[in-house]
Amino acid sequence: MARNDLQGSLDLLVLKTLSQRTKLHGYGIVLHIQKASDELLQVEEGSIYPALHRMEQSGWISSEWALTETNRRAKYYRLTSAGQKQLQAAEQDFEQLVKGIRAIRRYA
Amino acid sequence: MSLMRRIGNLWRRQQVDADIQAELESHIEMAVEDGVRAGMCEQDARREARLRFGNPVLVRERVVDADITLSLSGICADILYSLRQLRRAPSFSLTAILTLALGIGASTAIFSLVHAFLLRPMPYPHANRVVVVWEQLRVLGIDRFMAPIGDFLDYRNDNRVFDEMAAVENAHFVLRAGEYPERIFAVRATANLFPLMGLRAALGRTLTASENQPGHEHVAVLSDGQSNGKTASIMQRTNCTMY
Repeated sequence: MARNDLQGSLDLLVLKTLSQRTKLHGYGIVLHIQKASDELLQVEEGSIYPALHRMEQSGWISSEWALTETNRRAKYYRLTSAGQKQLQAAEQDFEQLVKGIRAIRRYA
Repeated sequence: MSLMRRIGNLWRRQQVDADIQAELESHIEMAVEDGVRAGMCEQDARREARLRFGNPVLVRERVVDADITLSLSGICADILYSLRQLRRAPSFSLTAILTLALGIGASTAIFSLVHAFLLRPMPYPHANRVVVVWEQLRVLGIDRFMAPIGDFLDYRNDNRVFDEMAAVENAHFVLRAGEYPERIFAVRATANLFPLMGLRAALGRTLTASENQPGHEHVAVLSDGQSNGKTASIMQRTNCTMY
């Protein structure tokens, strides 16, 4: 049984975003998710931070303070190798969930 | 690694709080910047950024929560997991526990010996500068020979190495002060032994230089080493007056 809920989906989005960049700050992750999903997925911007900190505590991502292009200090996150594995697991979980929902919709 | 960071976070709360605060502020500032770049005036851009961000106080509390709850529940989970693993493999656990117990026990025993004989300082000030000088009697193959008093006096007169030299000799005396004679362990010493070791009498006084002369009547200092009761009873039986 695939474990999946809203929190798991947000994790997947963040991990996937970070896997495509070397490093990115929270604001950048929010913008990327909005843009890449054609504005379909609106993350309430603040809600990304509890998720980021939780993932950092779990060792999936690491953080460091660095300067942005406009010379502003921002906390940048990058994917760790544990995060890479977690991303694969999350993607599989998500596939399972989608498959499961599709199966039920066909059946109904 | 992450466990160490979690434990660390518990103690560095203030720094972590400031870190979170700075992170959230930088998010809003970047959003404002983007708004201004898109043509909004700063006030509008700031309002818009705040709206999109949500309640900053609430967000901050939830971020702090994410740090703390995980730190505690994570540690608990780690401990429970290790306990489960131990129970799953009892023979391995037993071996590991026995090995640890023996290892710790042996280390403790060895350390107690080393500590008692090598590490623990003697209860005297500057104990590391106190040495015992022996004579050698090569003819008889004796490495540690007590210096006769004449030799000691020569050593002390010609001494340019030590701050002070005192002579000490173990001895046994018979104490005849009660119903039965009693054998007591004693030390014969020159009067300057006490200042040399930095010792003062708790009651009365120690020996004086004049008492150190040949022919002077014998003077004793009672030690408190054995037990108070014994010292007190000796003092009572000998009717000794205290100075």
